[in-house]
Amino acid sequence: MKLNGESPKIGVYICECGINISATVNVEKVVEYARTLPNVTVSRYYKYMCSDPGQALIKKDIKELGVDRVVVASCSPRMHEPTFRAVLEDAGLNPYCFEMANIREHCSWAHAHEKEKATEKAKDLVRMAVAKAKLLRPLEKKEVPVIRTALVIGGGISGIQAALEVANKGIKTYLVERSPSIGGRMAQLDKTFPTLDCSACILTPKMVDVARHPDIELLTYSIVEKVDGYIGNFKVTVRKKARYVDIDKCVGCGRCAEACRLKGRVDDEFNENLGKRSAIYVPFPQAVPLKYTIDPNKCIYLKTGKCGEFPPCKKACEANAINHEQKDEVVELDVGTIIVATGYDLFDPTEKPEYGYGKSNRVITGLEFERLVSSSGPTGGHIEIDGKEPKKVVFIQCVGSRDRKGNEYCSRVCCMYTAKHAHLVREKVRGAELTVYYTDVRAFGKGFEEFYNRVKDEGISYMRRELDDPIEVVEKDGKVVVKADGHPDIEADLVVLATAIIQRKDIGGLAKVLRISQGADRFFLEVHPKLRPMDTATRGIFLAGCCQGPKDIPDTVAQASGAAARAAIPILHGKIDLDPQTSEVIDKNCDGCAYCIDPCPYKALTLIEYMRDGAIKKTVEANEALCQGCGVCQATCPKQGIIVRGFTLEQISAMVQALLGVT
Amino acid sequence: MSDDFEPLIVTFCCNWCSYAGADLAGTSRVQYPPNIRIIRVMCSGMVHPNLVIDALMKGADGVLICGCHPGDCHYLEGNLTAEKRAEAIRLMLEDLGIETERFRLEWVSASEGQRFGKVVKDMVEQIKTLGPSPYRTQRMTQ
Amino acid sequence: MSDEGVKVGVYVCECGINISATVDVEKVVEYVKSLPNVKIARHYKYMCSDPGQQLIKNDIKELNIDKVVVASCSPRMHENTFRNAVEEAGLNPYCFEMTNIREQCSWVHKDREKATAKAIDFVSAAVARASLLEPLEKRKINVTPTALVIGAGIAGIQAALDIADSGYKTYLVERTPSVGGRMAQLDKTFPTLDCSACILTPKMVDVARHSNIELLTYSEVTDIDGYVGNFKVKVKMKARSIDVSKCTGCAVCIENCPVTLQPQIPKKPEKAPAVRDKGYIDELIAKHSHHPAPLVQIMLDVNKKYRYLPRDVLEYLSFKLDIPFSTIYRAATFYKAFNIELRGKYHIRVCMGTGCHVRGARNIADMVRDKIAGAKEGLFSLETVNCLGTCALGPIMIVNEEVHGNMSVDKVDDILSSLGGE
Repeated sequence: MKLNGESPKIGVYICECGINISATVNVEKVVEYARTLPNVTVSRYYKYMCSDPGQALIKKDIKELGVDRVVVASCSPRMHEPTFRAVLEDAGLNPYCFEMANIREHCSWAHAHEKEKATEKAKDLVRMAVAKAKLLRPLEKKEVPVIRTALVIGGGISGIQAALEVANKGIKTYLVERSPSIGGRMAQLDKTFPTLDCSACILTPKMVDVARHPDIELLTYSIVEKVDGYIGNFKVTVRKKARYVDIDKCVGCGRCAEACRLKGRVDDEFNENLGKRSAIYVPFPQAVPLKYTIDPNKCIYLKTGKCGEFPPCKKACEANAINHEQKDEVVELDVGTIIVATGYDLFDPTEKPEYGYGKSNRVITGLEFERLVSSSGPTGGHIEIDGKEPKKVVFIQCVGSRDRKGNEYCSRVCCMYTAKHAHLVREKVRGAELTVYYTDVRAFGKGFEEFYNRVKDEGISYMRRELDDPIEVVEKDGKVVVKADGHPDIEADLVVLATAIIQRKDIGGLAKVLRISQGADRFFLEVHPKLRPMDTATRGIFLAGCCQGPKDIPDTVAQASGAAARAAIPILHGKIDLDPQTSEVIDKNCDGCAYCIDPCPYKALTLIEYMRDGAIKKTVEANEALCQGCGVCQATCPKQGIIVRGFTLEQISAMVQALLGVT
Repeated sequence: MSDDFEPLIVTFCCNWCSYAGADLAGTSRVQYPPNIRIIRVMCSGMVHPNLVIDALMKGADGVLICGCHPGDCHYLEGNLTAEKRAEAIRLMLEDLGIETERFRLEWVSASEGQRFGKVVKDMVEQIKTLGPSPYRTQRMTQ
Repeated sequence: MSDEGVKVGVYVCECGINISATVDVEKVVEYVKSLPNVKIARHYKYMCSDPGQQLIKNDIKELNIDKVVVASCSPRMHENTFRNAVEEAGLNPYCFEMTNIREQCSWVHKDREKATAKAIDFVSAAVARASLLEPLEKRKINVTPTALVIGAGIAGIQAALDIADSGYKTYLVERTPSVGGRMAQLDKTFPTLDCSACILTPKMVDVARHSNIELLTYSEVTDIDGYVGNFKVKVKMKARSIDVSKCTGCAVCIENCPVTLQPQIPKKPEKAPAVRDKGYIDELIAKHSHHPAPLVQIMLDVNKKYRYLPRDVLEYLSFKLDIPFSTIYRAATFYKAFNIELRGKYHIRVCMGTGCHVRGARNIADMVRDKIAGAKEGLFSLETVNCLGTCALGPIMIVNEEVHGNMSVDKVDDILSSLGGE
């Protein structure tokens, strides 16, 4: 490649764009003028520079006249910059030795009636472009290879779906789940609206698929502790917590749990603490993997170092799988892309004491109701409180959602699951009186309105109340009284609260580890709510499911499939093109003052020290893969110690100087 | 000031919103005064304060920076950085005896072709009432 | 059912004591050994463990076992494990059968004897099936590494971009002249109120520029053949009458085009349009002028006289009554009593209702159609109608107002001849 570093040869090409430019701008005059500018070797105009003959003009001049910088004055670079860059490349010139002056959108079209002034403006714009072109340097696109593996964080339905979809593309996928089994919230649900199919029946085959998939490596009871690197080359540190059970040996027979001295005495979180389990447990019978885990906070042996003469669990285990001495294991994974599918928590209704939650066992949340009605739940699917079937049930919607003082958003699923709950009580409890307090019924999904109508027709009374109207639930004579303003009091046997979906309460740490941001509602922030709903601002990290915002199961699965497709793109592509127009530290100017480090939105800059001439030299290091080229660093640096290639301070300044005629 | 004073305004537009907004102004044939010269930058946060001061010291009659609306920044919050810097720039201009009105930071989205035209028109009118830059003699052109 | 040469190996798992506590595995094994084709039967503590799998592999190699039955947990759990083991020993993985004596037997029964009997039944059935298993080969079909996206709104655009970015050639077919779809028609998008076009157009440009996307605008998919991996799609690229490779989109052509498509509101003519029998029509108008809504009354008379509503008459009425032509046309086509086209002197209606249809109305109608084809112009016309409400008499044919029931093909001839047909 020919490059005249000192005195570049600039070719200037003015486009008439049919008459779009030439009707207003006197292109001949501009061409004449361009010839007078320093370093301009050739200046031409043509009807359509973007057309093949127009492009051929440029190529010819590059080859025959040795033009090594090209300025095209035509339309917006947003339109044709890639076109002309490709022309340069075709002709053997570095594509970044190109500058464009926008004399159509910014000139001829905007000043159609001021021909003279428009022509003067076009001359200025060309002069500025030539000034920048003179300082352009060839830039090389860098490619970094992409590690052909993906990581999915969270093993609920979104993580399961995402992992399966990525793995089905032939990509090795790690699925990290912090609890002992995958399945997530969906595994806790009884039936799913609006089709009323059994949640476990549609979920468990997917769970089994995950366990069997040759391209999925499942890491349950594991936590992502650290993420280093960048798209294509993440280094992820995962802590595999000690289960105190050798999962290669455990066959999931459950004799240990039977033998445990705490059997039936440990709160069962899978059953929302409505039931009891042992200190050694599987969260639910269909768990994947079906391997037991010892709860270190409960196990007598782990807490006291002794459990009777000999730990009964160990005695019971035929497979000799129990190992109280097991230690956490820390593994490092190299992955190309990451999908975050960490799910959600539910609003804690004790924050709103008026609902009486926590004061009476007759006030429960929707998720607790799911366990109560599930045949795999603590009551075997019998809806009962204190052993008695409730005859009068009140459902209260929007508990913690649509609250201008709290979570302003709508949780999107409560209207439908409340309708489902009402239906399930109707089905199971003969002659039950059912009341739903709602504010608006939002039945927006496919089949939702139809489902809501069906439930309403089952004799369930829907009573409207304003969210700001007072409501109180108080215990009275073994019942709970619901006092809603403007409605008669209802003495109920059971009150079910439709609590809001909220971001995981402890998500802050992971957000920091992943360098992804949260919105005002605390859910993870997508780059663009419409066009890039699964991408985060950190390249290579994608979102699926409720960690991005409340969603029902169909939307979650759709989004997870989408996130999987997005996450697979760089891996299938095999390499990441790094735009060379990113920041570069000019070591001789940089004194390591580090002003630039904080403003960088991508944390692409780090302060480093190295030995130079026997002394410690401080400087800043720019990570090309993380840098997006915004140039905030360049504008912050007081001593031109960091630049953005293609938009250097010197180049921009040259344009200003050229405009003002100072050299 | 004579009526035929034609101010020269150096304009920095961020690539993602404002430059596209200026493109849209042209595409929709919004007519605005030809007194601005747009320099494309990747982000409004990329404009070094020295560029602004330099331009005004060397005879530009005004400097306009256009960026994405807060919250819309392609680079998360480069525009907010620009906003903070604008404060500092105004202080410097006061020190240098340049009217702070000669410098403006405006938000123009990619959909605001009309607004871009209006911003330019307003600014040109304002600079016309201010008259030529006191440093105009520095300028070699026109 | 003893096939010559089939050698079945049966492996009963104890699953620690999960199975053996309830099922007498030794008894099962003993029984199984007596079954036809069973070459070997064993039990082991954990069949899924490495030593367990090794047992199977050894037998395949040393005893030439060619069908394997494992009686243990659910195949949903370990079918793959054992298929792999069998395959590793050089046997076709589909020569394997699993029977579930844990989840569906030992764990759900207490009675050891009955559970053992059930397990024996399970295993015997599995052996019977295993004897008939055939090696199966997984077939692989090449997949054409290209995709087609139909529709280039935002959904199609995004789908095409993601597939193309993954490195696959993608055809994007859009039936209108441009990509963009509904989203391009929107002004702002909720809830962020960002401009729809601004966020959409960069994607549209990406589609146009993408080296893996071939854009077929103003095109329609007309035919799809084949199956997953190998679809053959026919796309009709409609003529634009513009050479796309030359057009630069400058829009000068629009400026010069003399035709502007804008809603044209027809002006009322200056003077009354020409009409047949002007005197008669004027008379009708005068006759019904006292009526609050004279149009239908007049049209009834007109229809009676001409046996249809001639267009010139309707246009004349539109002018005279000052009613838009579209309104008149709407009324004329709405009522059954009016005809827009000339009817024969004898208007024949053949009922096609269910009652008449099953008795051969179709033949009657065909016959009538044949017969009147050669008759004098304006003599006959045919209309098929849905149910005239006299199903008992079907098939029904009505000539003007005269009803002919129990029609037959022969009767058609008679009736038409009597009316002057041939």
